[in-house]
This record gives sequence, structure tokens and C-alpha cells, in this order.
Amino acid sequence: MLVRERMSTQPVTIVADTPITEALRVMRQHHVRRLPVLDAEGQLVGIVSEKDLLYASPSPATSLSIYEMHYLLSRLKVSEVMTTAVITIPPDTPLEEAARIMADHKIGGLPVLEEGRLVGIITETDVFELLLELLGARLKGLRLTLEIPERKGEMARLTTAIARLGGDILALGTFLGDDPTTAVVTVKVADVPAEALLAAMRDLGLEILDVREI
Amino acid sequence: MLVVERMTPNPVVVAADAPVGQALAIIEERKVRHLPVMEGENLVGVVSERELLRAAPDATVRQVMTRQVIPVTEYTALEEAARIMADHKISSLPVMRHGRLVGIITETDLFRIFLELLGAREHGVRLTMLVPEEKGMLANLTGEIARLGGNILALGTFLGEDPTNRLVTVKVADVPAGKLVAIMEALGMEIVDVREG
Repeated sequence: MLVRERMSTQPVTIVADTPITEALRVMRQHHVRRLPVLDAEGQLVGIVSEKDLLYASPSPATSLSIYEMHYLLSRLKVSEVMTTAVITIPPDTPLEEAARIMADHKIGGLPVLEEGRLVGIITETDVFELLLELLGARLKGLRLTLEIPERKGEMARLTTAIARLGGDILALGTFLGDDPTTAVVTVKVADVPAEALLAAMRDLGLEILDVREI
Repeated sequence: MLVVERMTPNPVVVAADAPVGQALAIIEERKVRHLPVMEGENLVGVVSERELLRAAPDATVRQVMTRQVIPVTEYTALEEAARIMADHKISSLPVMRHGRLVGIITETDLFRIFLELLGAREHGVRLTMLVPEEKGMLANLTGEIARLGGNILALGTFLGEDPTNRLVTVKVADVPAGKLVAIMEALGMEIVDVREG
């Protein structure tokens, strides 16, 4: 799964010398929380988040009158509060790599550039939707969480046993285990009774951490 | 994976009658983005940094907080918590036990799980392929990787292009990419993307 497949294409952008009050209005109108910032030539020069704009507003403890505040805000430009050291990615970046960059840099969205041109934006929310898919959150079945030894062939043993019972694996995800010798697998299965599935897992010597029908 | 494994226990809270400025100070000091709002021992809402920043200077937390909180328990499945957040467009959920607040789980906590799920911090050959939606296909796939002596570092399944197939991303160590691709193609998988990462 690559960024290209899940990014928003033709993102809403803003020009660097726009007043921040206008930038806030654009965000609310389009229901977005960040805007790539372009210069007059259409080149990406920064990114601005709703939070950058809100923090730029006078603090609640200010002694300014409401008129003074509005005047100040209308004079303040996006270029003065935006982040200029923008981290961008190409569209063929794997989604988990995009997610890693967002997590490591504590940022909520990445502009996507192709040959220097802005072609999209990918956000935490896009990645989040994918997480739902990965764990089959919108599908119904028997959900099993198992601890499996971190060894070659363990996943094959697990999936083969389910296939042998006639089960259909709706979703499967692997997590890090408590220590490097184990992994935690969550699998959602249809078309197998719970007892038969559990018995098969015990036969494989796998530790069952959780079982539920969803 | 259950909420209890990834929530923040005993979260920092704010009183409903606290001024917005005080709540913002807590958020800044404790580096969090959401605060459960309490009235004595009772949870009465949740307030986000965003709601506080948009508030009028003289408001109290009670005036800007979200009152309709959707609680989960420690034993709610993580993807169920994720689904609730996505469906209601909210980014945090209070975790309750017998009517008492015991934790908070946020979008950021769930986000980190995604990295693990696809092995973003591990190195290997990363293969994405379209797998026919038939029982046993995943078993064939993992069986062949095991036969090649490969170690599956991560495996995730996504919805495919249509109901007849499914997209699978797998990260494998100890097998050359070329060999892996050849075997998968022989199994009838359509290779979408290959890379070393």
C-alpha cells in the first residue's frame, strides 16, 4: 500500500502572504486542519496547521481589546507562522514509512511531491482509516489474539490450520510481543465455530490471549 | 490487542470549573492533547487542545468541553476503539471501569500500532500483492515463505480492488526479493510492489 493510493489529491492550498484570519476561514470551509503554503510561482514553501494559527492568536490572558486583536490578526500573514522546514515525501512511499515519519517528527500530515510539484497530502486520518481495514474493524467474525513464537514458519502453521478447518481469514495483523522471542497476532476468521478454532490453536501450542465475536 | 495494553493509565485531568487558560497550561506542561473533565469523582466531558484554543478568553472548561463522551472499557478491542473514533470523528476516548475513569486512549496511541503492524521499524523485503479472495490463500502464501526459509516480520491484509481479491503487504527477512517474487507469481498472486526497506 503506497501513499499514492490513499493521499488526498488536489489538496486545498494557501498563498504565503494570506492573513491568518483568512487561512482559518479556508480551513473551516474545507474541513481540513493543515494547508500546504505556496509562493506566487506555485512552489511549496511551507505548511501551516490550524494549531499554528490558533497559537498565533493572542493568548486568553491578553489585555488587548477585541478591536486591537482583530487588527493584529488581520495584519499577521501565514508566512510568519508557517513551518518552513517541510518534510515531504514522493507518492510511491510505503504508507507505513509515511506513518513512521509522522510519528517520529510528531506531525499530522505530509505534503506529497512529484518532480517538485505538489500532487497531494497524506494525513494521520488517512493512515487511521487503513488501520481499521488492517484489523477488519468493519467486518464480522471471530476475533482471536494469540501469542506466537518469533520463528520461521509459525505464521504458515497458523494460517494453514485455519484453512484446514475451512475458515476464511478476514483480517490478520502482527504486533510486537512482550519480548523479542514472541509476536502477537490478531486474526479475524469467518466460517469456523469458536471451539474448533480454539482447539486447533491449542494443538499448535499457541497461547490464546483473547477471544471474542464481533 | 486490547485498549488496556495501549492506553495511558491515570490520565491527567482538569476540573469542569477551571478557566480555559489553566487547562491550556496543563496541556502544555504535561504535553498532552486531551484532558478528561471531572466534577469531583465524576467524568463529565473531554476537552481537546483545539477546543481550548478556540475558546473565548474568559470561558471555563465546562463551556467548551465535549459533553457527549463515548466511553470504552479496558477490554475493548483496539480496532473497535479506532472504529468509534473514526465514525464519530473524535480523537480520544476515556477508558472507564465501573463508572470510574481509569485511562485515556488517543488517535496517537493507535497510530503507533500501525507502525508495528506493517513492521515499519524492521528491515526486510516488503512485498505488496493482490491475493485472490479464496479460503486457504493466506496459508499458501505463508507456507511458501516458510518453505523458502523466510521469516515473516509483518503481515497485513487490506481490502482489494473489488470483492474478488485482497491486498496483502508482507515483510520478510532471509529470502532474496527475486526468489520471493517468483514463488508468489507461481502461486497466482499479482505483485503490486516490491522494495527493500
